[in-house]
Amino acid sequence: VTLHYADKMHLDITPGIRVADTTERESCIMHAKGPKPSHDDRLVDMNAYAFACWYQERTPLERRLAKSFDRHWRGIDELMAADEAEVDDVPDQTHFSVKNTATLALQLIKRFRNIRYADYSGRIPPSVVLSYYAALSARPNMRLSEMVIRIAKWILRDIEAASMIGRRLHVANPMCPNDVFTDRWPESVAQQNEFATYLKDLINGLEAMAKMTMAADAIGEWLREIFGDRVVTKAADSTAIRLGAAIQNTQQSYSRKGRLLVPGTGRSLSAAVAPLVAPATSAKAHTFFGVRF
Amino acid sequence: VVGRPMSIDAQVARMKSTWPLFTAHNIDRAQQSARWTGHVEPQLTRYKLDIRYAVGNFPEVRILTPPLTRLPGNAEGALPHVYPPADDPTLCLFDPAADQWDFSMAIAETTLPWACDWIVCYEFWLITGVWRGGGRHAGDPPSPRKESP
Repeated sequence: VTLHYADKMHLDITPGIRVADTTERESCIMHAKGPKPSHDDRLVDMNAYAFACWYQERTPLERRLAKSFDRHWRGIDELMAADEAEVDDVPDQTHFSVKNTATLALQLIKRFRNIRYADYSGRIPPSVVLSYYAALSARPNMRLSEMVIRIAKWILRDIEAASMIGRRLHVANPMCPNDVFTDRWPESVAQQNEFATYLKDLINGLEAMAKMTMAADAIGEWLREIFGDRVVTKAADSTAIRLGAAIQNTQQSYSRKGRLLVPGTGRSLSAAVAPLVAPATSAKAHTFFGVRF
Repeated sequence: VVGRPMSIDAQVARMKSTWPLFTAHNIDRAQQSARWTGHVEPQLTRYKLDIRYAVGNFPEVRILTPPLTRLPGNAEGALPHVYPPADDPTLCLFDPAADQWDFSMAIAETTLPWACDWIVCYEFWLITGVWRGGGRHAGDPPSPRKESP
């Protein structure tokens, strides 16, 4: 059963049959396109619950990041499912909750994937594969851009290794090896190579940004192309308003390298957490002047 | 009330202690003038700044690299809050009518962080087309006076 939401999101629901004498929640689901029986109909092993536990274990709460984002999205954080039930409620749609950098980086990579494949009619890299690499490569308290690059490089490395010997990428549930996450994508080596090319673009752009050699307008254009016009424009507008107000209210300061420090903000498009460095100077009030030309 | 002017030696010493990555050039004690160059990276891009100052004049701040981008037709002008000439603009970082700067003040604590403020606003102006740092241009009515904290 597929539930379609008004905002074009959808949720696939399928019954699972518990497999006896296996790890907690290991189940079989029916793989059948229907409505008529087919020779391809079969039971497929899965354990989404164990994968979720594995993901959570590898991506623990990072308090500094969580606190920083909690200021932006309040009234959240009730996503933990009741663990006594065999059937877990799907959490209500809530404000975006961020617990660690890997998960935030994963959200960005999923958005990047959605934009890249927006006009694509075939299968696209599944979210569960991206989640697997996010958890596998997770390291606490990295800068967001570094974490996105790290995840992208881990995916890229495995695709390139598979392509080199003419094989398709194979990713399975680490808690249930028969639960193969890449059973539908990639369908071919060419399809995974296409995603590898997109990932290289993402890595190259983020690395250029990290070197601080890209002009601001070029960064804006690149971010719009990679993550979508609407969301980047909205983020840039709100950040510009917040930082402009901080400057006008003399709440800003700068590190000895001239790096902006604004208390209590996700500082920039390129970093989610302000660096913990002592400011060189405190702010003094001033008003920009000059001429228009 | 304007305090006693800070000597060029005092300005150089304050710059060295506050912004150690900036280099002082052409220190002229007779003329009470100096020049500093160095890099800052407030937000998205690394900039090389050139600051020239002679006691008795306003400090001049130029961005040497990267070249400043113009947005022709923008409501704030092709390049906001600068002094001419157009091919060699200097940043305009305070309103002379608001008594925000005088010769007793340290460049290290005013001019340089204000230049970083300008860069932050400039970068978002390039991305969004809107200058969010406030201020006024010559000919606009003066804004209400604001005291330092």
